[in-house]
Amino acid sequence: MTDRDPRLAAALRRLPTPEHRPGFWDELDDRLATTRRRRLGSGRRWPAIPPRWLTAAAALLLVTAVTGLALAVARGRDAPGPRATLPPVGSTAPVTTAPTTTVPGPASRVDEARAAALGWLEDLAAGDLRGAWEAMGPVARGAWGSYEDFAAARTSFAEGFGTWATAEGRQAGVATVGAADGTSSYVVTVTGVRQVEGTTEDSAVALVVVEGPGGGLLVEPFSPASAGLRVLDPVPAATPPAHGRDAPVTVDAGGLASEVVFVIDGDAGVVRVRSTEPGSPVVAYVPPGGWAPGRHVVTAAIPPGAPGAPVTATVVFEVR
Amino acid sequence: MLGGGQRQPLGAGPAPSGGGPGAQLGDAELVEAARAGDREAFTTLLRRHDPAMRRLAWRLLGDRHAMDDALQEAYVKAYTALGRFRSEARFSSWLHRIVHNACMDELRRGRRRPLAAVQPPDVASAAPGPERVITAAGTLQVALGRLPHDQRATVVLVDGEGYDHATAARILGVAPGTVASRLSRARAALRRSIEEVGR
Repeated sequence: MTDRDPRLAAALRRLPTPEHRPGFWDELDDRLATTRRRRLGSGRRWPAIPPRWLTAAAALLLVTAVTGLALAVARGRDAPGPRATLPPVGSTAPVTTAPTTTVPGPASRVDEARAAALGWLEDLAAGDLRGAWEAMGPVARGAWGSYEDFAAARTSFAEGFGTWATAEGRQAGVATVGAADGTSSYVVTVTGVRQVEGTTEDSAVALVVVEGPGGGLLVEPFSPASAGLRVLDPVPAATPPAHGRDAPVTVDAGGLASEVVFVIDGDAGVVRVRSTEPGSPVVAYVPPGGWAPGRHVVTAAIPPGAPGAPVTATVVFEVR
Repeated sequence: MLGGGQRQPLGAGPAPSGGGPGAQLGDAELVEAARAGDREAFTTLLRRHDPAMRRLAWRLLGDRHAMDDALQEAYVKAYTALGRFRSEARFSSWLHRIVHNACMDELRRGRRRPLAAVQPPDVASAAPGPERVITAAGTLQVALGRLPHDQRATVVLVDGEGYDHATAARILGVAPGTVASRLSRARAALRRSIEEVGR
């Protein structure tokens, strides 16, 4: 028995669908090959990994974690984050296990950044598109081109970003990160359980807040390069996926920048990670000693200054 | 009507482009080969199901670049998640769920044109047939573009691809009753459009 409406089904099947852009399959094949190499080097079980690689990776992780901790103790907690980088294990995804450093900004400024980000989300929820537009920085405005184009997406904002205004258990952590021009910028990570399309999502979104002219703060939620940074592992999902205690969070910076800032659990710490293999867009991070059991929110960010930046990508996961 | 059986959707049959090595193998065999590290087997699977995935992504996003971006993301995610695919499920419905989520991500990022602005493609050149059918198709495309995307996804999966309510509900991550109510509203709106053209 079918649930189909036959007349509508026939009409739908007559509708044309465009082919892929030229090179789509080649591009995909390259990405799949990169993904496979990364998995081979990251010690994941699938696809199959030679056991000797697993042993070598485990030993190197242990040595690196111990080294990272020793460096942290020697240099003091407030020193700029030392980086201890695992030598590549036949892969293009070196894993950094540097301890995170907490870089607080002035308390009032951190609060202002949080208020700016939440205010922007609430503007969208309330349909105040003009208010949201005026709160945005130059990169976000440039991504839309004009206020008219931005405002035309009112419905999708209400159903997307706007749902954060009513998220259950909403929390917003603020981390201070630098910008290329030496000014401060902030990553505001908002977490909570929200209703999207009739489903419940335990998720997070990160918004970059930058210093604007005249001492104000501006939100930078859009960038033409937003697709250039994405989390490869764990795969973001509506329900936080399980993640291994020693498994790195891996991102693809897509050539936007050679250094990625990882913001851990909203405001628990910031670590800068650089891919140590020239030309590799893949950057991976696992804290020394691995992830503590529980729920984690990790935001990867490329701060203002790099072409197309700022951009962020966030993932929520559970470590058991 | 709401049976939980998983039928092969009518639109998910082997595609002409899936003619490489392994094209004669079933989905289950290709999944096993892909899990064992055979990337070509995975690509064969993707090419087999790509027409149906393109139909969903195109109807939801209405923009060719956005469609391709979403499908790239979805296919890479499927590759990384293949180890978690349960073999008792249909690969097509599992992949549809990933594609649907990728399209929702694309929509939430706001990197596409607003729904109301989705324009019909050049139907006259792309869908040969009687003038009346072409006009109806163009009208249907516009009507689809005006539907909320949750309703649009539902009608594409059930009426377009032939999924039953239970399977569509799993793909969309909602209750079967939600599928039924969305479908009812979507069909009513679309029928009105088609009948207007038929007068």
